[in-house]
Amino acid sequence: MPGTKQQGWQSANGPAATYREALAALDKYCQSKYQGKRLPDLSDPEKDELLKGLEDEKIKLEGVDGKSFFELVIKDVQMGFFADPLYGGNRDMVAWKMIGYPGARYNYLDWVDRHNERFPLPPVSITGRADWSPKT
Amino acid sequence: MSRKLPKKDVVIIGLGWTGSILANELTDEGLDIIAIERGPWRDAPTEFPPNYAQDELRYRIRHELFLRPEQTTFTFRNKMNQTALPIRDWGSFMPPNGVGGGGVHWNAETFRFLPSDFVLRTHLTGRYGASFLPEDMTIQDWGVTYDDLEPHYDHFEYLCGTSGTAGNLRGQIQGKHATGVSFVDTGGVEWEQPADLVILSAYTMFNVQLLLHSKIGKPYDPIANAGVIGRNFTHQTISSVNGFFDNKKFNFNPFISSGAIGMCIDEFNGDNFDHGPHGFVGGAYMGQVQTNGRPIQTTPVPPGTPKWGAAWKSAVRDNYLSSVKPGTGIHGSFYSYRDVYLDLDPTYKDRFGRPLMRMTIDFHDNEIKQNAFLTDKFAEIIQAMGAHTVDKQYRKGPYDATDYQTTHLNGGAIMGADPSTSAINRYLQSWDVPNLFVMGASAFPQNAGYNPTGTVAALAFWSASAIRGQYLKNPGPLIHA
Repeated sequence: MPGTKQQGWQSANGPAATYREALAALDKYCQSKYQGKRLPDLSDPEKDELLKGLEDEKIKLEGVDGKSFFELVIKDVQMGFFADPLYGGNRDMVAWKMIGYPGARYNYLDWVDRHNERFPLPPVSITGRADWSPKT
Repeated sequence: MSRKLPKKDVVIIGLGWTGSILANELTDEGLDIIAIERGPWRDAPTEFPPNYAQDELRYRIRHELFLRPEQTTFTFRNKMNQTALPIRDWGSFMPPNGVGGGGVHWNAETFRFLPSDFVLRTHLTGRYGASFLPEDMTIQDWGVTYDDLEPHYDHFEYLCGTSGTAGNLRGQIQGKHATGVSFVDTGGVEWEQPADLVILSAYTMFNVQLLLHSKIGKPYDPIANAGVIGRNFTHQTISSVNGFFDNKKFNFNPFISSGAIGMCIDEFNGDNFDHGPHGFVGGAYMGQVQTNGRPIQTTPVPPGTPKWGAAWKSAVRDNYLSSVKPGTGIHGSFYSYRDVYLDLDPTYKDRFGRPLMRMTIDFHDNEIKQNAFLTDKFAEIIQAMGAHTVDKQYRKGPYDATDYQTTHLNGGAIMGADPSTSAINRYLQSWDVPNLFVMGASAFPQNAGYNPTGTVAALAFWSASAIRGQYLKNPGPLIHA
């Protein structure tokens, strides 16, 4: 049974099935709204329009709660963006460089008392440094 | 039919902080002890290496060190007239699993409760009158005093190397018998472990669940307000205030912080201030204690920022190093109520066919008022630090099982002086089964505005001292009610 918001996730679907169902419904919506175009074929403004519509509950997907799906996607994408590159996102620690997070460093004992100074070292990941990535 | 192991002097159920303390204290008496732990054995060098302990996705998000909901979970509802449903992903708390128990993910914020916390009902009714308390609030005295526990707090703090500076920035200083336990091993084989003395030292709700499954003590009935097992279940009333500062002037390096490095004030905890004008009881410590700057959880953006896209991204970039996001900015008390309790779920069962623990829990007006007052106070501090934007995140009802609020769940097998309103006596000994002692925060009649481990450990040493000094010489009830 669905339960209250406070009771959390109650679906019989795991994340994979949730994604498959919602992406199929989203694809169907796209094709009807954008003259047969599929999601990856949309222009960036069209993609933004679509996401905004899901967030604001202006778009109704068939058999799927569009807003919940939108929230799941945002959560998972941001998780991938900020997680260690070990997991396949945050390539070359692009997210960590952007915010100034030094990654999986041993400790900061020498820095505990250095207030208001920017930590100078680049981020490291569990599997190494950005400059170890193969150049393709 | 279970296989029977050779009898031991003591069997300990759950090897976290309290099970370990009791094991250590009682082996000093020369007793033969076995501890049974549900989860894995973990060693520091192999399980907590400093080169991947920082993996936020693995530990904080995917709950590597915690119990898996598919192993067992709890059902949850806010109100007695709702249907409880299983918690399928940990949210408001994260139950431990394995050797070390909750101590494995402990931030080591080690507090003592206030002397008045232990005689709460007597203290509050004496100061404000009985009519000041809500009618359905079921707070009790503990049956043990601060002075009883003081040497045991001391013992634990020395053991942990608890340190810090206290002071003021400006201003002035102010009848039955347990035969043992049965358990199922990882191969599905059922065993019986006989013992003379049983120490129940699992996590709060599992203590209560094991008591109910073992039919020890009378189950609590909220309608009749009778029975003891499951009563006075509590959590913690937590809220926070995020502060955003000018990134040209401030750089906080949030990734340097750790769980117990911080600064707090205690002026608004417990009954440290006059509640008369405010119409609520209880309080909180408040301060900037932030567990790390791990970026999945710690990239706050000012209120009004879009949740995604270019505007979100630049807000994250501009604020990460110059914002504060106190993990438990306001760490408040959660007093007990008649309709906040634990019992066995009528529908959902675990993999052994036993009913799951059902949590019925919601915030009451007293805690909501307390939190609004304290959150406003804390926001004044963040503002005075120089924040250009202050984001107050009040705790509001209903209690939300998806939102992390510490793992400080308490009560359900509470201590006290009266067997009709408590499950265990002042030495944590079962009133019903004198060779059973129940450790942990399940003993708290209500929760104070502090992290529980210091008090949990002090109670364990206090109980161990009574077992060593009195019980072993003459096994039987230590208190005759």
